[in-house]
Amino acid sequence: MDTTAQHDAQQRADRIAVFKAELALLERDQVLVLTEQQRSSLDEHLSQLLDELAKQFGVDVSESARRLSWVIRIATLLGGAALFASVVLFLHRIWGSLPESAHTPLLAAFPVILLVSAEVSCRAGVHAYYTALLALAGTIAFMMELSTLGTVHNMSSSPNAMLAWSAVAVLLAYAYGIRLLLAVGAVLFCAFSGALWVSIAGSDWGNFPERAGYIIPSAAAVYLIPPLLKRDHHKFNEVYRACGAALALGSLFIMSQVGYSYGTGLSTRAFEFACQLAGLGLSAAVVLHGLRLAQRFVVNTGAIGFVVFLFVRLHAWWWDWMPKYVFFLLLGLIAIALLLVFRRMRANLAGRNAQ
Amino acid sequence: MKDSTKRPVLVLLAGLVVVVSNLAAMYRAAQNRREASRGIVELTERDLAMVPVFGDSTVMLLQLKWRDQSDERRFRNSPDWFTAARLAELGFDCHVPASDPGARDYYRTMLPMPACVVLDTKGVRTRHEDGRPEKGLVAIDVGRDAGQLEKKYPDFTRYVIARGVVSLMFDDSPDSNDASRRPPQIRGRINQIVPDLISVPPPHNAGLLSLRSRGGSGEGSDNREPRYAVTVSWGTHGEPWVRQVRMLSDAVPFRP
Repeated sequence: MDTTAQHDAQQRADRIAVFKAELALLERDQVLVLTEQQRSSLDEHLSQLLDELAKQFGVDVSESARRLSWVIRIATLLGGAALFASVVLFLHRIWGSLPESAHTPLLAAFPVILLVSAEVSCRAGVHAYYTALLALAGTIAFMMELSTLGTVHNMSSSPNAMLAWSAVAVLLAYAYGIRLLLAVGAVLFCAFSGALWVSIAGSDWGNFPERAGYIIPSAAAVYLIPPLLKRDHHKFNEVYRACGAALALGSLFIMSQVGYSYGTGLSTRAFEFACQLAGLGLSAAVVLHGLRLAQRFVVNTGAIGFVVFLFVRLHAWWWDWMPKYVFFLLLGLIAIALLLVFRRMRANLAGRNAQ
Repeated sequence: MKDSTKRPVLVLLAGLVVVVSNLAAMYRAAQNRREASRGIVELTERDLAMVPVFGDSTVMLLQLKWRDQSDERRFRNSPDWFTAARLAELGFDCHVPASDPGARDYYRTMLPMPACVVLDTKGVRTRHEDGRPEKGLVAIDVGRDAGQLEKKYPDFTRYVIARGVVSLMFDDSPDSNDASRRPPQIRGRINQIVPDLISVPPPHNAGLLSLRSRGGSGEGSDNREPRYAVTVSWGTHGEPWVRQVRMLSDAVPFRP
């Protein structure tokens, strides 16, 4: 089963628990009193529903079960990491005595075995968390394996590896509904595109973060993927938007610090100022868009970007000449003013929803 | 197509990407080794030092230790022959004079570039107190076109044409030996040779593993007689591989 179906089932079980608690309160306050028949019918239905959810999706139907599940997950994560480390260290131990012809097949087998294990565990109906863990381990193993292969064959590094890693991450994300893997894939793809542009321009691709502006087109493309999709698979739209926004804002921030003007003809200071203003504007736009789409991660990404760019701009304007206590006092007052604005916006939203 | 049908297809595609990536890497390595066109040289421990590893790892990596011909410490890896003119030949845009007030801002954002670096295995690294030269791996030239460098340095048993990364260095700091400020200058710098770590596969690693297991790491390799010599080839992509390891001191074969 995939993680989205698992997650939806758990959310339904949680909603049932909340509903039962609220119903008890309403009955206690005599606001809603059910007849015996209604009561027993409701209890029977909810009990059957929870049994089905537990059987089909392995959801936790009580608080203690939920806590125990978290303990099991943490133990599994630590145990899995320890096994992973054990295999890596064992390979290090025997590497020098293995024939050279065995090196590549042995390295390539590692991620393939993990991918097969993920698929087998999914078909066996194992809890989606463990399948996701195996898929994530498979992706990490592929990244390590390709890097190690380059070291073993004394190859110079290439940005093409990032494209391969991105492809595997995105494919597995769609296979098992793992949002983290989709985010990893999107970031790697944008990094690859930035590195490729730098390489085509004749420079060493390893320094592509210093030309973060080359990442912005691919970040914008990632942000604009959702309207092109027929439906929101595994609720991935929010991931695309959050990743695209974070990468674009991060790139603008780096551009505002590095001082390279990309042939615009602007002076260094003017270009940095323009990037900071663009960052402020884009952050605000992302927050508004996220509010409209009701996507929490998008709103948070835009909000963090706005705060960072605002602080950087204010620092550039005031830090050198203003007494430091006045600087932080003004920052605090601006934060309070923003809070009042956002509370007003929230009240307006609540009023509109009530209508 | 239903989600349950799509899933195995997606996993299969992911597996295919893994396999194809590995095959592509193997193909590239095989292409590189087709011809040792960029050098077949013997390097001693002074030029290829053992890299320390953690625990009981049997991975054997040797680090390329090359020098430049610059005497000044702050111009490390920036030889005197690597001038603004050479940088311009490599493709750096050096049209702004170093004395221009905007030169610092202009040059500080320039990114490093890939280039071919010529290493001389019999270059003079330094001179002993009695004037005797100490010879070893020294960077003597750079260029964009490996073919041209191969023609310029045809002795591939002495010269290596390796891949590297070079950058532009803008120096406007005062001369520490002179109170007056010297004029700003543009110099080239060889950032690194790529790759500078060379893996030694079995069976060539046996003697080296034995040395390491007896506590002989690469530290202090400059100050003692070299204990091993490694024949390394550089192929069509400028990437090295080990052909032979010769122990110069007695070593017991390694048994894991």
